[in-house]
Amino acid sequence: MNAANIETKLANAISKEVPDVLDDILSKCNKQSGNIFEINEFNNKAKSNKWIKSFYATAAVLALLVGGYFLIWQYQMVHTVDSVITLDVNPSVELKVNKAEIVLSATGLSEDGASVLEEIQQDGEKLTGKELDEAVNELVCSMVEKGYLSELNNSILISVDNSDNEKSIEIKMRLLISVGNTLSERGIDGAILGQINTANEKISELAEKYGISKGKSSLIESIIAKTPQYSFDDLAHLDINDLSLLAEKWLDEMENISMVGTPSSKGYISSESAIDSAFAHSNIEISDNAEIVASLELADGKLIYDVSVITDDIKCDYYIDGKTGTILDWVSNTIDSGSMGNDQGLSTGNSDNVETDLPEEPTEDIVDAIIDIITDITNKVG
Amino acid sequence: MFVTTEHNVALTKTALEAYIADIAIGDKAAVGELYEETKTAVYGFALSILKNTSDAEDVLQDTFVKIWSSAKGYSPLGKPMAWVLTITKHLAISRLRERNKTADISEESWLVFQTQPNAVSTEDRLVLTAAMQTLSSEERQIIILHAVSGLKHVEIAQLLSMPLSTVLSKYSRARKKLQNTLKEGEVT
Repeated sequence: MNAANIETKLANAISKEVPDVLDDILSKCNKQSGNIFEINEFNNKAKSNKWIKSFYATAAVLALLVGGYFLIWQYQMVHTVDSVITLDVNPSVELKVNKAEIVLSATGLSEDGASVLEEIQQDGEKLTGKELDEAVNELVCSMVEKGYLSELNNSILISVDNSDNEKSIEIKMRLLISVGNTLSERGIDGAILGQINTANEKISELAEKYGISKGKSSLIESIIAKTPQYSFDDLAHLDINDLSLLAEKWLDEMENISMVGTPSSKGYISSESAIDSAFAHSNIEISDNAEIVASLELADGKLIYDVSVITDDIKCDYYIDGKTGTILDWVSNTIDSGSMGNDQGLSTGNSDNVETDLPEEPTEDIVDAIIDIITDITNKVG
Repeated sequence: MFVTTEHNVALTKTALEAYIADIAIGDKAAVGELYEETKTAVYGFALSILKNTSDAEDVLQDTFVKIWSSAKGYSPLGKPMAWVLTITKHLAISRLRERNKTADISEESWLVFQTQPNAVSTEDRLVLTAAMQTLSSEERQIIILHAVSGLKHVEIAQLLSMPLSTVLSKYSRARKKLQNTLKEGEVT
């Protein structure tokens, strides 16, 4: 017996149990002080003349027109997509709902999204036909059960598209709170990002190109607007939690995006651990006036800590894997005390990207070209 | 029986509001119309709170008498069913308090269904019995309201003064409990 059958059977059983107490009720309904509204029936017998016949004919046509219009309106209300809601974690799922917020379709926009929907279906549930809130709750619960949402990966993006801006905002705010509470009931301190009316041509094209949802595409565009050093390609492969960590510091300036909660950085080592790793490797002694800065940055498609340490005589930059704490690269420069303190002296490091100020050695082609020019000039002078 | 799908939500709301407006001006016939449309929801909700058919019957009567006397105060805000069920809720809770003060018999012993066994199919009766025996009070209220009142989860959350997510999770848990109970044949 599936869930829908259970409710139908429950409703049937209750309807049969309802006692007939209408007479008792009516006997207790004493006369009210207000007047009873009576519909005066048209008692005069209708005269069968042409005018009345044409009146009834017109009325019948009007009734048909009104009825037809009503049926069309009702059909549109039930079957026309009114809002599109996208949930992104790593699984991405798109829900299309009608005006009454009943789900018309549920589509996985990623492999994991399709797999979440398939598993919900295998459990005997179907999202189509459900209320939006119920379907979203079902999806969030399923994502928690499958481990897509957890304390380490607690961020979810909800994008709402509706031609009515106020309705978009109303749905977004309702889902932000409801999803936050659902996660909280499952012991997850969630970070829920909400945005509205994200679709435009550029965002749609990028979403299609990278195989991601329009919602995620829109979030990436908003982050790039604040951090032009990142490209769409850099960010497209990150999950929503990593994007949320990058977006967090600019949220106040992102008009279209709101967030409830804080994205989890528990999947990453702390900035303190990153600094400890840097010191353990460099054997630098920390003086009181040492300047230490650690920031989470994006490099080669993953989040790393850039730890910068400046003491009286040395400047070190360490690039540390945000998840494992492994030192990926480092550069150490001694500071020339005879100068103003900023000129670099000797440089050491393990990376290929250590830049020096030496001029490049000319290639053989350039040398040959110079010899040709000198020979030519000599011949002319001679 | 009041059956609401998305196809007739708007129509039904309009009709219920019209009945309440007619009751407000003393039209007893409208009480009958409203009763026919909403009696299953009212009785089901009262039963889910009280777990007792006799008390639920009293609350069913009192609800419509109360509607008769207070229809003038109803503001048509597009939520007539929620208004009706709010009256039911207050009356049922008040009845529950009275019962807790006076009765010393267990809640389960109050549950005696009125209809003859052959009036309801065995399977339907099993589901109702399972709902009464295996669900918590809140779970029972939520699933019965959803099954018989046509209210959305958001409206149920408002009616029961619960967060929407709580209503959704209790609803989901209730359905799973019922499915498991019926599958295992634990209902007696």
